[in-house]
Amino acid sequence: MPLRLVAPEWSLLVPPLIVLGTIVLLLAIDAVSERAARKTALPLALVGQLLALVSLATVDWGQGATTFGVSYRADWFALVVSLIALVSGILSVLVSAGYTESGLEPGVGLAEYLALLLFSVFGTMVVGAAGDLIVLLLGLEMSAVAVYALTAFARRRLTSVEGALKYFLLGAFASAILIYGMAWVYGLTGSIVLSDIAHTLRTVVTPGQPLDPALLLALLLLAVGLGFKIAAVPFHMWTPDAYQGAPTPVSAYMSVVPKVAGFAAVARVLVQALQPLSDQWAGLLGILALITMVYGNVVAIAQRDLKRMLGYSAIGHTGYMLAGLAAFTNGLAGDRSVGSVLFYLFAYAFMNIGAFGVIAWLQERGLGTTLDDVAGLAGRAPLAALTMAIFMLSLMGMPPLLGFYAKYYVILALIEAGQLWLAVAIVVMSAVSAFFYLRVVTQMYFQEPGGTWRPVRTPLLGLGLTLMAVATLALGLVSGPILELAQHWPAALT
Amino acid sequence: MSLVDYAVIGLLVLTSTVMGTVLILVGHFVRPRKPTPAKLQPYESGVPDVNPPRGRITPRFYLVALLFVVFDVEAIFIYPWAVAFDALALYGFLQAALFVGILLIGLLYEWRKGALEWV
Amino acid sequence: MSLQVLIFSLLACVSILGALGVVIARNPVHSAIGLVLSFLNVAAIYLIARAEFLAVVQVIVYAGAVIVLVVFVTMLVHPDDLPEFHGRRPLRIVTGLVLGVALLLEVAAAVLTRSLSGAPGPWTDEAVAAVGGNTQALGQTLYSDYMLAIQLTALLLLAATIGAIVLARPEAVSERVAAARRTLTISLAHPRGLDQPERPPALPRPSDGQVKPAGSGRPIVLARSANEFTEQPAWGEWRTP
Repeated sequence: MPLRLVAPEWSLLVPPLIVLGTIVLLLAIDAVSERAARKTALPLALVGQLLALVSLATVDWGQGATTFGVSYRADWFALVVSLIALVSGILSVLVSAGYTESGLEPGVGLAEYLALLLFSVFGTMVVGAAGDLIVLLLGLEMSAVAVYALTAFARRRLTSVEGALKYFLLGAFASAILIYGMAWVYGLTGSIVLSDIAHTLRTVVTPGQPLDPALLLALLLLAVGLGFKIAAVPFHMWTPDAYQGAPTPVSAYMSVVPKVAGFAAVARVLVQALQPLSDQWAGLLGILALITMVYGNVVAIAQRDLKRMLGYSAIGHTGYMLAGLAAFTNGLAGDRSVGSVLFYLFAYAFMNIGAFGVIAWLQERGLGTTLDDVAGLAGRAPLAALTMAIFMLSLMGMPPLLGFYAKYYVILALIEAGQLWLAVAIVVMSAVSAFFYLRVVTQMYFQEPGGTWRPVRTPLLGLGLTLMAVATLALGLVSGPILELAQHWPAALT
Repeated sequence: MSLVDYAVIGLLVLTSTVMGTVLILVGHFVRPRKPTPAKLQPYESGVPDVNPPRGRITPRFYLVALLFVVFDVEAIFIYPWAVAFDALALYGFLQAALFVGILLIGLLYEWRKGALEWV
Repeated sequence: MSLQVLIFSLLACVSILGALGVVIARNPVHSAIGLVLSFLNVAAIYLIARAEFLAVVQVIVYAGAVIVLVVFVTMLVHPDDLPEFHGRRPLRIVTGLVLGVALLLEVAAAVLTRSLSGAPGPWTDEAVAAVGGNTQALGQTLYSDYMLAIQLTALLLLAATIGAIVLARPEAVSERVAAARRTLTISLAHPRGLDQPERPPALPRPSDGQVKPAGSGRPIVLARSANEFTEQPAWGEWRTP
């Protein structure tokens, strides 16, 4: 057994390395002088992620080059996942700006906060580029571990700790199940490399024949483990508490980026490695998608706390995205399934981080997070109310907004794959979701304001909200290039 | 290494287990038993027990324990490198150095942040 | 060969018993001991499977570090604060039992009817023996083919370290407690600083440093020196005979 000692292809690693460098710099500045860190951390995190975003252009993703053997794949899928992760990371940093601007929760170590946030972004980028199961798992864990700590960041507040504990325990449990599934896959195929697994399975699985029970077990364990990570029903139990308990900017972040990591892992594992089993898992995902969207949207109606409501609405959106994956057709030309999910995640980042951002904006003005707290917002702060209305309507799927296009492409993928029932379910559930999204809008515009209002200036947070609102308004109309990028996925995953 | 090579260790484990069990059991059955309150105390001599033995421990120990686990896991990853050191040569050394270096960042950071202080 | 099977069965049975003890024991420390038993037996099973490195990891990390952590946390938490894990919730117990048995049956079916098995890799017994053993072989593979995984692990540990610091770093100790510490010896039983954000309950004056029930019925003993205790009765008053 000769040793193969090969240096990695550094040029492929530039974007994640920039993120890492930013983390190290943040920690170093914080270690040297906490006062300097308080001033420079936020701009540093923004600039670092922007640089990483720009550096995405330096890599030739079309070639699908690999490095570290085949552990790291620089392909189209990795590009889109990195893009979404970095964009959501930047938006989350902007939303977190309240921490420096008005001291939302005192005693926050801003540099640590941002370093953990960037660790999570880095982990998500690694999941997107993973070429084997170990790297995928490590990326997934890194994206999650940092968020466990972030959820408990307001460690004086009991709800924050409670949410983090639930998130952590269930997340660790899910990881154990996931690893067990991976071990089975390795035992049955003799490889942890995603493309090799697909290759081996193609030779042993004949379509139409019943599966080997061991393969079925592996598939089920993987589906359960990944289901926890993306908060699909019935593995969603941690979601509402974690979303409600976490500091609001963290809720904004954790509603998007760990989900991106989860869906990237689902795509890498199911679509790429277990592609020969697509008959089995597509049906499974379809059922999961249906119960997830029904449960999330129906339970959200009963919520009076906005963060909790958005938590349930996030479960509903997971359902829509799962439906997009369930539209996977093995080998049909022009398959839109994974592309539509990627686009959905991209759109979801803007509108959901935005919605949480408005809540953070309100909290800094001394208001709470319930429906009563947004009452009469239109009279007090017309711009904020308008922004929130845009996010709510977009989450609902109102036509010219970004959220509509996201749903539209998923439905298109479903119709092309012949899964009409799921397409109908999405439309019906969007109508149901109108109930609780519009309730926020009516509260803002047709109610009398209550509570105490403490005017403060939060220019960076305002800038972030404006950016997201404009993106939600306009990106839908010019969604072509992003969709184009997302539709390159078959080159990467098959 | 075949299984037979572990027979010695197995014998050791077996002997110590049997011996410990037997000694405790023999003591249990043979010794006289005349309990008094003082004898039933966890510590019979010296300072009386003023606290229940399971008093609270400050959470400070917790941080130490957590950091201990992190560096314990680090040691585990360095172990196979140390064993295969000669075959891996400079390449392996650089990698192990990078591995330790990344964790050194964490150690320096927590040192600087006062997490190692016993306040 | 049959001896090997015999030893394996013995170890497996004991480890399962240990695992059962973890779940059944009411005292968390007993659970921890059951866990150690289970871990050590699993380590021995790894030895039988010729995975010496895994056995070492199992002993150092699990039987060592993780158990230390478990016992630490057990000691951190007041036993009275623990929720009742053995409550009467028949529906939950039945659901758990059914799901557990279903999973067990599924795994059993998968093991028994398995027709696939992965192609063996390049590390045959001879290849492993040629480099000197399991650990050497692992070291060579880990630090050549799995370089990315190793470095990512380091980063994951770094993230975990920072997370741990964020969550458990002591905050500036309040002036009051610091002053009390300068003049008083505070017993270990006294909760101070981290777990009580508010001001601690009024400290009893040292002169009446007796065995006194505090808020939770826990005695707090404060004394300027250990000599003050010598006048106390030989055993505490809270201990009812």
